[in-house]
Amino acid sequence: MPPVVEGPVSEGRAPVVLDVRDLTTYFYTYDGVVQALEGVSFKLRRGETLGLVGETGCGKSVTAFSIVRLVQEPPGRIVGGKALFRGANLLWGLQGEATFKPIKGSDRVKVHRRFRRIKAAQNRLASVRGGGIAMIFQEPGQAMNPVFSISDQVGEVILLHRYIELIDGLLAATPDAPEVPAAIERLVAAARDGDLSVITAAAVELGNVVNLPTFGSEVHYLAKDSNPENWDRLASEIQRHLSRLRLTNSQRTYLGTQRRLAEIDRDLRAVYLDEMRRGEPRGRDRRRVSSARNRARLRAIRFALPGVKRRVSKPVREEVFWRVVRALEGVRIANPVQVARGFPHELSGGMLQRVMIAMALVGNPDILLADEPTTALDVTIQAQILELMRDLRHRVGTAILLITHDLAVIAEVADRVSVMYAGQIVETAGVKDVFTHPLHPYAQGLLASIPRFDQPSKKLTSIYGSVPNLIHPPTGCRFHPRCPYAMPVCREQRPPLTDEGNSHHVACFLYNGPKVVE
Amino acid sequence: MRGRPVHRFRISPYIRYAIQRLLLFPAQLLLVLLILYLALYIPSVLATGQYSGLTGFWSGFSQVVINDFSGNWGVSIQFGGVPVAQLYAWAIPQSIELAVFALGFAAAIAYPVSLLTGWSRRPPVDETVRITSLFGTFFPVIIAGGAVTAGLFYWFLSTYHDIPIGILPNSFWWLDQGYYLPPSWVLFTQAFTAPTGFPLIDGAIHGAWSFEEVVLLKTLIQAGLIAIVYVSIFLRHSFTIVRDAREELHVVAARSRGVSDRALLWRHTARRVRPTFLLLFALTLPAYLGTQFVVEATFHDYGLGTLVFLTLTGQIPPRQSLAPILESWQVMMFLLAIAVLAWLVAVDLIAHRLDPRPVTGK
Amino acid sequence: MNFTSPTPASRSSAPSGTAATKMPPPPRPSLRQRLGRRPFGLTFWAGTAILLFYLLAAFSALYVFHSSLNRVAVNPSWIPPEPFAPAIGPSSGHLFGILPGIGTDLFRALWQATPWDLTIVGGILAFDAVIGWLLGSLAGMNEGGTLDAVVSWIGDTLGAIPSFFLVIGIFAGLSALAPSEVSIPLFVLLFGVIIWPSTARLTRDRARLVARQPYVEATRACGGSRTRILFRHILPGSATSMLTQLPLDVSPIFFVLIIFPWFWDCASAGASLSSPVYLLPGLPPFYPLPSVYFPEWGNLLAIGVCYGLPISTGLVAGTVYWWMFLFPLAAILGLAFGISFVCDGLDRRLSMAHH
Repeated sequence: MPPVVEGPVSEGRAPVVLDVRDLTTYFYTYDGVVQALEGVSFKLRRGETLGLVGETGCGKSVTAFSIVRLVQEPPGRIVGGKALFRGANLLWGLQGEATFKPIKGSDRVKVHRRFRRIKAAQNRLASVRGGGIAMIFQEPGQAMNPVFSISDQVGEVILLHRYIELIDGLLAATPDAPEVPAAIERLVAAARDGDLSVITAAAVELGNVVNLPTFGSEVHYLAKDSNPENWDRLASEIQRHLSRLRLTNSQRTYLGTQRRLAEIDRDLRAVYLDEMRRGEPRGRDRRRVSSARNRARLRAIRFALPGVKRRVSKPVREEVFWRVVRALEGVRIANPVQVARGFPHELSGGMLQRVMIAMALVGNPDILLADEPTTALDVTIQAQILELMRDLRHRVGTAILLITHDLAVIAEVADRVSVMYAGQIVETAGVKDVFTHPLHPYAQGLLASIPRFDQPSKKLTSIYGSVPNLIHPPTGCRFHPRCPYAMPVCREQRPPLTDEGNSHHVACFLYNGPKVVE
Repeated sequence: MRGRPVHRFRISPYIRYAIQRLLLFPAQLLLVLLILYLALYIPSVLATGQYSGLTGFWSGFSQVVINDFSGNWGVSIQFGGVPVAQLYAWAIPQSIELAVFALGFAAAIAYPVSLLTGWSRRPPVDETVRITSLFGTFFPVIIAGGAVTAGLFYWFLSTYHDIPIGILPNSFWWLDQGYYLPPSWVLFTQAFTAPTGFPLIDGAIHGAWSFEEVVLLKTLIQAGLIAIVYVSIFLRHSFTIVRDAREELHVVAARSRGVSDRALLWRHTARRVRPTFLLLFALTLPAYLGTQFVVEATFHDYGLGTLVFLTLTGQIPPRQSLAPILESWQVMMFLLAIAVLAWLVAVDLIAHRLDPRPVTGK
Repeated sequence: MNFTSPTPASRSSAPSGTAATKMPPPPRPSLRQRLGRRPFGLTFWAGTAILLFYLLAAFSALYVFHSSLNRVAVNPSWIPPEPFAPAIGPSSGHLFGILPGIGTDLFRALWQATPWDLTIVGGILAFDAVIGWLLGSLAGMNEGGTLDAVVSWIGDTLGAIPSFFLVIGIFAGLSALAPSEVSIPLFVLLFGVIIWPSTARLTRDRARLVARQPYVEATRACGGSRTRILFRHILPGSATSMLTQLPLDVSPIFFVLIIFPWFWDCASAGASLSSPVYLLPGLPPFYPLPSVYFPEWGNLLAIGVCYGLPISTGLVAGTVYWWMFLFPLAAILGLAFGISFVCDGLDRRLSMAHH
């Protein structure tokens, strides 16, 4: 893992966490080959927000889906390119996964997929998803399984990516520390007084005394929700909750075996990452780790019995629940305990999007791919979600790839902007540069079509023509049929990406700055 | 909710729904009976020309309902004057025992196979499932039953000194065991057992282990046949259900969080489709019953299936002389309606439990 | 920067005509390309070929057997006169062998049966498809309306009773009233009436989802009439449910047509090649055909099973004569597969057009 250099964000000096080069994705449909992405390249630095804008159908979402290889297959297929995530090429091994044979007399191409290799690639990618690269979706309602509770779904991410930490926390908890009774006294007294900030402080203190911060949140909600009827019972309630931290011997053994399994899973991920970094299969390491996993599973087989498992995994389940509550607190959900117990259909769209963000962030990802996160929400909720994302970026340092067709959203949160047209990036620049002097004719047209409050008399213009059919895309520059400045060369060659200074990149023959070196 | 005051006398919405659904059951049953009465009884009255006006219609209906519920179902001549109700009491446990095994097999095959085949994106799997399920749907069970019997006949005879027909051993098997007459708990020309009527349980009660072995083997053969035929019918729908669930966005979303494919299939998708599978089972119950009845008739078991065909050919005679066969047929329909409606209620309640979303009420 | 960025105003002055001339002409697809672009798939064409073959057989049968279409030619010398008479297998004279029970040439009987079976299956399926699809779509479109309530209610109640039992029961009642000549139309009518609710219920569920789609609301908002919405969106959208259900409804038809002749002719009569007593006198009230000599695949298969696979009738001694049941079975399976392939192909084609 390359060392993470702390530096001023958005100055272009922070380390590159994602380097996408020449990403090319096609969809092999019955109508022909849809060339959805053609040579998309961009870089994403730590803590930076890159906006990806363009018309509907220009390949913004396909870009995000291609990076983590979630393009539906069939009909989709990533046919070329690299996506370097901290030096590991996520798209390694593409060439061997399929062969292509054009069908004579039609536009179609017969794709023969080697599903075994595709499955292996998916397994490799699973080591990056969630932990390294997380994703949020346009339709939060559809992006959650309707039969799982919120705590189950968020908790699954914790179990996948933060399990070791969770087990260590549980094992290090000190429910019988000598200071605990006094701290409980103070919390009960605070609850009696009813001052919320005092309750919070006392709860956090109890959490610290017990050496498990989640317990602080747990008793915080307990104390906050208590009322005169059960003040006297509050102390015994807290004691009851405390008893979940007093682990029995079999529970400790269970946690030990689970920790071992989680470590092996971590090792497996490391092997996969190594594979993608070196670009060669490391079958021996993989076999070694998976045989270790099989042995560990076999050793833990007595815990797999349903009744036994229920009993020994109880501390884990409760701890996961309260961690979910804390994660939901982190995205400013007002009543996290009720929300965590609830199911997706019980929540509004804005709440669900918060839960989605919590779910994405709970795995501490380096990159967040946000696919139109605010499109389905109304304006006030949209503002809250954007505020949340901006805040999280400053707090956590996650790099965000923000995909949207809404230029206002981009202006609000992005540091840099890439403009996409018909599956290609035509311009990349700092957000101010793009809005003040766009270079590419398409970007100019796009900006001219937004209403401006500061220039009310200005006539809105739209771009002539319509989005091209990507089965038969225009030759050369894909924008040339709609471009007012089209030259003969535009029809014949694809313009290279050139640097026009101040890291303003554009792909257009109107400009002839130095080419951006790959 | 922990820490919140407990509300007293609060019935959960699920319990309320369950009570509503159970209260609806008798009403539904009466409705089905009325339809049956209209559909079966009126033509037969018309055929005999003994129509006696609207009063006659309602009194006839109430008579049918009373007879159906009181078990006044007539007497069988072929079975030596045994009341038809008694025949059902003997036959139903055997059918239930066979159904338990057959449904167990069917579930053990259908659940994983539908999940795996629906999940796979390889085109050959899709085609294979489609064609196999088509074969299963149209292949007459009588031929499969006949072929199984013919194939196993000599092996079964030489190994167990019995023929693979019926559920209970034949009389010469008892002879072979040293009985001139079967023991007293095997009734009625080796057709039924006492005291419970479930042959395997009765055999265990009386400690007849060689009897158990033969009965178990015969039950397994027939249950396997029923399961294979039924699974192929079930699979045609169920694998489409899984395929649709696979395309839902939440599967992609879970994958983007690093959930492995195995967990996605066996945890996420499996739990997602389970309520739908249950409903599908309820919808294909007629197909299941048809399969089991034909297998029972093919193997000449003394189960519900054989009674169906005996009823059909008029060999279980009537309680009245008028419209003879239709009346005993109606008893059969009455029992089936109870079974199917009860099953629908149960499935509805279980599916409701598995799927947290409320049913959109009208 | 070495280029002053052009203002948007200069863009709008560019004549649109020049831009249009720059647009490359779209390549005109050849006929073969146009046909191959959204293909029906191999299974659809295979299904169509099978159905065409059956139609050809049916029409030729109408011509060949026009004098006595509803009774197979019986040759008494082919009915085994004494026990353990040898069975007559397939030969050049009798392509599919001889069916002993009713003493007829199996190939000719199957051929003769084709128009009858196509009429029965086609009639019931037409009933099923048209009524089930239309009513189901209307019900789903007007969710919560009276029609929706009625369709759901009928569907739920009939769903509680295995349909073939109900068909047979009602049939028994009605056939006592009607002469045996009308038993086939009666059977088609009854089965059609009983079978459509299941299709309607499935179609309704699908139509309900389609009716909630934004494009349907958009059509409504643009002033599209209800008829237009029904024919443009709901019916094509819900066709996939109907097309999935249709092939499955073939199997209960043959179930009834096979099981009842089988039980009556064989299982209760104890028929076998070794016993010259093979048919009970008269017909039971549940027999869906005018007579046992009626050319119908289910009937021929039932007779074939009880003579060719005597073990299925409970008679333990006997030889398996495969041709007696395999050829009728192949005729039935062929038709079922043809219908199923065509429906599958249409379904795929439709879902492709919709995605």
